[in-house]
Amino acid sequence: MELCYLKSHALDTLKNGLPQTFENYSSQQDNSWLTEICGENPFKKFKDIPDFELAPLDSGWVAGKIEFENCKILYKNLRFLTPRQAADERFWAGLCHGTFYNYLRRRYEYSTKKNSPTAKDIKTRFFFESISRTGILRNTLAKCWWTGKAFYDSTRSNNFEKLDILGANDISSKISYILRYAFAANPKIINGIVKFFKHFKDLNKSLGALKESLRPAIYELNKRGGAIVLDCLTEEEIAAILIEHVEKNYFQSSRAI
Amino acid sequence: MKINVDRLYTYPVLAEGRDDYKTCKFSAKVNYFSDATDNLVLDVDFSTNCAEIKNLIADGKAEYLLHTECQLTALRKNFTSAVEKFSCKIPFNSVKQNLECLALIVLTEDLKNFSCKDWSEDFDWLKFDLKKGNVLAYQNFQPLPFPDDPNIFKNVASIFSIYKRPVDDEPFEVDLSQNKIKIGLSKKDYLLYRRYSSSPDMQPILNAMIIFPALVYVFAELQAYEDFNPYGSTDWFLSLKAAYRRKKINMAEYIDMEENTPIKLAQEVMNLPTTKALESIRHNDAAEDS
Repeated sequence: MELCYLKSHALDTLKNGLPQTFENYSSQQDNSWLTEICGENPFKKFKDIPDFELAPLDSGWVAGKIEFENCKILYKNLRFLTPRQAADERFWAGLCHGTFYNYLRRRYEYSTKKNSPTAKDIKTRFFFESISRTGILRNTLAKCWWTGKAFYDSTRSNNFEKLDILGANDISSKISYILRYAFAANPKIINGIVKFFKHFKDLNKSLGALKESLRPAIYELNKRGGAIVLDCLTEEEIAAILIEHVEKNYFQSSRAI
Repeated sequence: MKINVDRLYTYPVLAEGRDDYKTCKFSAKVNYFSDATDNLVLDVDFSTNCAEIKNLIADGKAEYLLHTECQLTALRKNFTSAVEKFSCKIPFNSVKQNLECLALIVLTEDLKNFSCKDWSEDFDWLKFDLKKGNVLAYQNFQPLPFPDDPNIFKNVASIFSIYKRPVDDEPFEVDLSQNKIKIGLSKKDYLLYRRYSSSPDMQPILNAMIIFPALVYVFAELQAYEDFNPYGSTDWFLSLKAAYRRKKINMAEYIDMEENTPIKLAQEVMNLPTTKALESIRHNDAAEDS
């Protein structure tokens, strides 16, 4: 597989031209129209790597399971990227418009015209909506790579054991609730969050609607970060804050109801 | 991470713009430079004249902390020390646009009845129970700018070209006279190389076996010619020179230094190839076990 990124001026041309071209993403079955818009081949070769395929879209898996598998597949196969390269819009926009152009179209059902994307949808999913952490984490492929990276552990025999503990269920919400915070860049804090998930998994207690359990707990952690430097805490202390919050505010309050 | 002066703390905090302390000061200086192995080196120098806080540090109950963060690349590293001056390293390839730094003194354990004679009248006679991780003092810094590098998708290996020689069981050869550094492998070696070269997990190992020794030879050759005359106009030489220029290093002067042996220079340019190769072996080994 030839990995390519988008040339800078091609990226600018395509992104700025979205109000005029966004319908092409559903109407055009291949990406040859990009050359016409850019006036040249918009791609530049980065390197050759062994072929790999993203999670199958026709296996009956729910979107969360597909995304979960893609976190593993993308990070495993593109682990050589440096963080600086992986934060570069040209790279992910290149993959979304090149090798995986049709995959994305099928993933969002643009190919069957079930869904008609808006220009904003395309900007978010095929590009970086903004040059920020949030922008990176909303790109279809970059989001998976960065999630894979956050939970990858080269010291364990199952490198994705931590991701498995999180589980595929509603993975998009988990990614959004956890990785949006700057503190999630600290592996120790991520490990604390994994320990929190494992605690309830071992007890066979479901976190139910994550909006009501995980999100407020992570918010609480962020709030504590206003008073203390979270990075100074151990994994166990991070986990304890989250566990205590969920026990008190989710399980106990729901029992009271 | 930046702490605004209007952030409310429930106890006195020592920082510029706050009046919790009457006369005591806290300051930190950060000098930074790039080293030859593509790291940003931060030399930090903390200073405070608050006796009570200094005692806590001496007792191991508090520490100096440099918090570094780059949101785009999800870098967040804290460097701690019990002494005022220390150095830390951050790989260039883990930062994009800018690096935020914040100097702090934080508690390493819970503390009861903390008080300080220098606190302003508002805190007269008060004592505080503080928690591990509480901030005792801080100083914000302007973010360090990292200009975008248009060459981030290029690597050292791209100045090399590996080809097949029509021989078997022969040592590999290196030719520096062309625009790419040509490495000729015997037939059998070449086929094996091709088989594994596109695997990201094998690349660091192959680089250490093939590119690294060739690069050692390159630097030995360059050191032998004062003006680099035979190679000065080749693409590979210009790329190498540009790579040094990006690190703000004068290549001619640098490789001429006595302490910079070819083997050291090659390791720097490839950013520790042996370490990367060994790490790959460990990773491949773990993957096989699973």
